[in-house]
Amino acid sequence: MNLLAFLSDFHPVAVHFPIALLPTVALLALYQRLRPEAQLGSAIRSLLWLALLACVCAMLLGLGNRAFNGHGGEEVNSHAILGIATTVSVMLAAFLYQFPHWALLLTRGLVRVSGLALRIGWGVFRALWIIVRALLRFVLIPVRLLLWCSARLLPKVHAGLEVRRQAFALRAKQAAARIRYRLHTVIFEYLRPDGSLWWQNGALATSVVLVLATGLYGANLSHGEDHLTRNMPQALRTLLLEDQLSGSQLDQAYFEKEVQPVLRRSCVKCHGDQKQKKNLRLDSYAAVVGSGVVKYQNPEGSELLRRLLLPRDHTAAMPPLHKGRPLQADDITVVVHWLQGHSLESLVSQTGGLAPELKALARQLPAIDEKRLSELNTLEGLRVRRLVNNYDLLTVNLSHVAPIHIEAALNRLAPYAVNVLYLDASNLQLTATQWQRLSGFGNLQRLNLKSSNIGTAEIQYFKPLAQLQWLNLFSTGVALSVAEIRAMMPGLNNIYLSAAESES
Amino acid sequence: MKRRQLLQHLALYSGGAALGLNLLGQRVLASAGADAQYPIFSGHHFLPRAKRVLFIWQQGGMSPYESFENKSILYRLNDTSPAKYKGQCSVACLKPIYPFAPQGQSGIEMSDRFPHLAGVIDEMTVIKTLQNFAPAHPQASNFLFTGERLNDKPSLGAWVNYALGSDNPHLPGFVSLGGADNISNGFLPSDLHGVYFETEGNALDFLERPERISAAQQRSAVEQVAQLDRLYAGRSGDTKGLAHGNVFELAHKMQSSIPAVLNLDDEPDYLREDYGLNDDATKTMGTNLLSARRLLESGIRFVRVTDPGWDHHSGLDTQFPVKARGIDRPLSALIRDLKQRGMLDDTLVVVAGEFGRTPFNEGKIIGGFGRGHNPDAGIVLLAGAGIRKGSVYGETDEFGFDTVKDPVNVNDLNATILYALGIDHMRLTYELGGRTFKPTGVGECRVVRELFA
Repeated sequence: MNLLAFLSDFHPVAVHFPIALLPTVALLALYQRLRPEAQLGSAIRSLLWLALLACVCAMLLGLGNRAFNGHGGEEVNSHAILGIATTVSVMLAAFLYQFPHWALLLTRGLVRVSGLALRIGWGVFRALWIIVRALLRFVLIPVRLLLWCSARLLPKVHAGLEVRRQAFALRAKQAAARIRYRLHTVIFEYLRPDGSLWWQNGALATSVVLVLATGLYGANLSHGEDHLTRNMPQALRTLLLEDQLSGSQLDQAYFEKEVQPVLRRSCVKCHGDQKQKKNLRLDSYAAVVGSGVVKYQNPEGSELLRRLLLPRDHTAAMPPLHKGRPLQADDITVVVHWLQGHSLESLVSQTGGLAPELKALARQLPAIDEKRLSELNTLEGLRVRRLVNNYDLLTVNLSHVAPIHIEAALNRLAPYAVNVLYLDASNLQLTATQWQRLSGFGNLQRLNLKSSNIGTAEIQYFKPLAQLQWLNLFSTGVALSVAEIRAMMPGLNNIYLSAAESES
Repeated sequence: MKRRQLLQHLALYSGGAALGLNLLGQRVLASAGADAQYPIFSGHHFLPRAKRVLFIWQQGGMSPYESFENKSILYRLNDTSPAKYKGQCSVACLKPIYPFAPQGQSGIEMSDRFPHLAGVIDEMTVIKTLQNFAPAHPQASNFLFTGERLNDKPSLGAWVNYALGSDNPHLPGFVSLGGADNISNGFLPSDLHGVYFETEGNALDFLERPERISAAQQRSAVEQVAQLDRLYAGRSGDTKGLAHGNVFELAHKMQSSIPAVLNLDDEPDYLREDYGLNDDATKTMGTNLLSARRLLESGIRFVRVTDPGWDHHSGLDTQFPVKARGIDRPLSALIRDLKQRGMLDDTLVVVAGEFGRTPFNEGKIIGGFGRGHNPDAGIVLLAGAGIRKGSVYGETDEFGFDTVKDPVNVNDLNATILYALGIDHMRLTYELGGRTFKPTGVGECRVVRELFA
């Protein structure tokens, strides 16, 4: 078994023999065709047998590779099928070149068979036509009756119609004859029952095409899909590979901001500067776009996405099972959105430019549906809005709520206190208890207490607010310095106090 | 074969993405009560940087060359016609009239007509490449505020309030000081029309209740109007008329709210001095800007202050210094005041004319020194709401006549203002007559994200 596996590894070496031999034979055959006096028959024959031997060897080694060395997958299967087809085709070509009279027999047989088929077909058609005609006659009785009457009543018109009918029937008969003649011509002229060259050359041409296709597939497997085009001059590339290249229209800013982190997490370990498996690098915009694995506005045609979406246990799935970190649904959405040709702007607008921490936070908070949200807003002066659509983070303005409604507003907000990130409580005159309730808004980031009645004692309630970054105490009774407030709440970036002491 | 599965995945994901976008774009009904159709958004498309906008309109179009655009070639070619523009212009170049010097830590070049503004220039971004689609004032103003050429479309302030609503139930969401041009609600509900306040004398005419009508009578009249509107809306299904009742209701509330908000006597003396209320040259702008700050502070979302008279076809040597002095001190005081109150973090201040002016001397024809309209390169000052501090955006050519890099057209500007407020201008739309209207007109425009730090 080990020996077989060892031998099978030589498949990539062995394949070069048929790849070299078959085009050579084809060239010789072409020369022979142009210069019939060249007498290359024996050379062609012997080279063909050699090619067949090489084909069989390469095929067996390839199949061994597949069986013993664990290569598999859709691409490998296609490559194997093409390889077998090549061998069969070469076998046929060699046989026909060696025994040309077989080719002749083959042609004659085909002509016989097709001639017979033509006759049978014609017979069936006739039979069907007779039935249809009988049916038509039956159906057309009223018409004939009408015609019979018209012949009596309007003999001149009837005569004219009859002439036209006859002319039409004649034309139809001629057309049918022409078609039959054409079919005969195709079979007896083009297939040339007396020639064997057609078969020989046909088999040889098929072999060459097949061996090249197999080789290309195999090279794609071992060198990467772009191994022929990666150094192609730009002008030629644009001319030939418009579709392949269209990846360059994809948004670069989007890639760098959103897609690159995803690839860095899951792909770059094997497709980056350390390793370049399959000669593929995914660590920069130029590399990804240049590799041809992405296509603009064509996620379905993008190899990158195909690999990402394959079931995890599929051999072609990326990242391979147990190797890279699999992609999350969010990551896939980001990639799909990019491949669809969207700009960063549109993605930002989808997520509202929220930082990842806030997105994560929003997922843990109590959900608020639109109905609840609009109910909160029915209290006069209370304004509650989502900070960003689709996320349960709120910005609340309490500053225009009338004093008699404050308690009600706080009660309404109580279930969603942790959802509030921005709170405007400026101008409010609250009791100490109410200030304490406000400090229960545990995730506050911005708090505006400008011109409110908060004092040094009440501001202590807000000490545990770890997320607070922005605090406005302008024109309040808080008798603390900026340094003291900062010591109390070290997370603050901006503090606004009285005229002399504001700092940001 | 796994292809089918792949396609299903793709359909799911791409469909999901599309669905997500659609859902985001969906209009969410009535958060403010059963009868209100707006704000149409219950949230924001983007994380909002600004809560409110102050748009100071330098009506007429300030000359860049006497403010921020110092082009050396103009000194060399002063009073001559440059070969580059032969055949286009029959007038000669005019060098900047006032001396320039770099100001602040950012070293932005400014003319000496804005000494106070120089002190806060490190808070601002100067756009040098404002482009408009029309070279004449009426159309250019329409483009600036509505994104459309004709004057029947909603102004930006109306759009903003349509989307986000007013925070203060006792005040309108869109107020204009200093001028009443381009504040229409257009086809949007009529209570979104900008309200024009006078800052001298009575803020609004007929604000006080006539003596012969009691408070109870007035209240009942307002309620009956609203009731009739609701009755009609209920029967016809057409809710547009509800705006009519809202206008009455708001007017009624403003009787008590407005005098308090616009009472500048509450402000400390040092601020009044700082805004220039004690100086006749700066009193008008000072009053407008201090009032604007009070209005913004009281929950008004969009305040437009008009500063008319920047259309210097002549008089750059005589009238321009007067205009510059009029705005210089109040504007710098406003920026400092907002900053001190913590309001500059969530207030976007925009100072813009409808276009720039040419490097050529039109005064040659009509006397004195003056410049014509140039819709290809104008000045915008931006401050607050996370706008870059002390930076210049956009490049003009050697004459300052055309934009060579980073153009910002008026629609880009408005899209950017909306972006600061958390609104995607492409998804703030209104269907009318078979067309989907958006605040930024038709054609290409973009949010200038680079303006934000």
